[in-house]
Amino acid sequence: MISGVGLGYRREMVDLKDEILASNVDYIEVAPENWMRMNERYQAPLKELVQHIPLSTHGLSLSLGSPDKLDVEFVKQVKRFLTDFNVSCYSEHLSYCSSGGHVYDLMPIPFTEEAVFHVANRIKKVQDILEQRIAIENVSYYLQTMNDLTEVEFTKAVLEEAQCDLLLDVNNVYVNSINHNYNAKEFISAMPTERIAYGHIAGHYDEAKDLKVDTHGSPVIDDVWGLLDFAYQKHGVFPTLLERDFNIPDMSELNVEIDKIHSFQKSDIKKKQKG
Amino acid sequence: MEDFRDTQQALTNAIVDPSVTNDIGVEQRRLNIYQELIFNNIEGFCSNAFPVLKSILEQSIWESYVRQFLISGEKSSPYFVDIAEQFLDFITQTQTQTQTQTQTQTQTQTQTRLALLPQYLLELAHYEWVELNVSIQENEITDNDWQVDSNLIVPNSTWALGYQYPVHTISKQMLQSAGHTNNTEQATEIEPLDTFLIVYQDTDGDVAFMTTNAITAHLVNYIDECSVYAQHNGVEGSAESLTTLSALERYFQQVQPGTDSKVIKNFLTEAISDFVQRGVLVID
Repeated sequence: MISGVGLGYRREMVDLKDEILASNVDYIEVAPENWMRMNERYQAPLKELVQHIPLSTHGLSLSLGSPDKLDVEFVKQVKRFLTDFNVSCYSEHLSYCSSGGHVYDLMPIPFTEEAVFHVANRIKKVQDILEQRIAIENVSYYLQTMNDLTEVEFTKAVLEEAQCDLLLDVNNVYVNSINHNYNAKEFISAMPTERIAYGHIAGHYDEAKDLKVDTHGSPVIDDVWGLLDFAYQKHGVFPTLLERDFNIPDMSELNVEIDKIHSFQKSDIKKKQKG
Repeated sequence: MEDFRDTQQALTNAIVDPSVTNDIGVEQRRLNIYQELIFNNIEGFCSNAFPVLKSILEQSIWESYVRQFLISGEKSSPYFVDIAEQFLDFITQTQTQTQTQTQTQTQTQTQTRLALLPQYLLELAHYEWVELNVSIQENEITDNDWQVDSNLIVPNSTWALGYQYPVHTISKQMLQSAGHTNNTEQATEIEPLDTFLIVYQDTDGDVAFMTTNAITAHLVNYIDECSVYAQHNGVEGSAESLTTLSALERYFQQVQPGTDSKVIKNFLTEAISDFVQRGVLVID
């Protein structure tokens, strides 16, 4: 099991091994697609790290919301990876990245009732094959094609129907609240406490005043820190991971954000105890 | 009521192909975000895998290949590492399709015609993909003590290749100094030169290549065929092995009739002991 504060681990961070182990990073997370099908030499740095620190996984290509057939063979390969690397947590995105072939990026699932059942059935199938519960992440999106349901209704309905967990990405909540003009705190409050398995936090890019893009390429902004604090107060503290995929700075800079998550976790646990 | 799956496909179509009229009722500015994110992402994977090809091609030609690859919908692998192979397949298939279209003049309106690439660039693309493929294979080297009765296998990390052009020397600088421009029609003037290469993982696991000749490349490919044959037919053990020194001598005597048996033996002994030391061949 994972707890505390995590860091999204990328191959570019291979030289940071000792610094990661010396920091207050409690666990690391990888996209299994980036490490599966690679040889021992590629996998060696990750294998070394996971001897010291727990590993969680955050998939990219499962395409849970896709109209294409579920890639069962791929799910089985993920299962082997989870076993080989002794991973307990696997999460994926509440989105689709293929429709008549892969496009290798996340697209928004139409918020309809039919889509709820479609994606929930696929999540259930994945959970059956993996023989474990998975968590799904609320993704950033920049447009929506069908709005029969709100994002809150859609997300809650999928969680309920699929009996899966939620990976609450507070940056995505922020980005979406701007992009789709809703209240971020209301979204967070509406999420079922008992389903929040863990969280993500990251920086984003300001495309326009009313359009933010989830890039993981810059520091976390104050408003998003505020949302993490709010989420902890609302739902209790949950393991939270910093994602930084581009413009990766020195570990000292990442440590500032890692330690900031720790300090929110500590103060919010105290508040909870006092309250 | 519209099926949400049709809506998903319509959105995907609009994202991958900006020339499609935006009739899905979404703000163009928001659609642009997806169009750029997804194109730049896949272009990044392609340019990482084919840096030399990209540097040689005119930017607009390179981008239209990536664009049409994105539109093609033939990307079935969930693995990012497979994007390169799928792109290579797309480039290769496109040549025959484009040629057929040119001949029959039946090109459909919807499909943008891609510029035909000269053979040397197709071979370069293949070579760049081989280098990537070799780099991610498991290193199978366990033992380099080759004996005359050892069984040999070609590891997945070894490719023996024959090209019509010296792909390993092609670069933008080389073409420029040879007086070529970015214009692919002029660039077809590059002189063919039968080129045999072995790409492999050395004992440290680094990708290496060596130039070789037709008969040596054939040796490697023949040993590979033998192990495929042995696997399918359950032929194992030294008595029936096809890759011991004496078995290989017999085979080469057949394919090179009239050659002095000592010459064949010396060639095989030298090539095999060198290849086993390097990691081109491994002992079963």
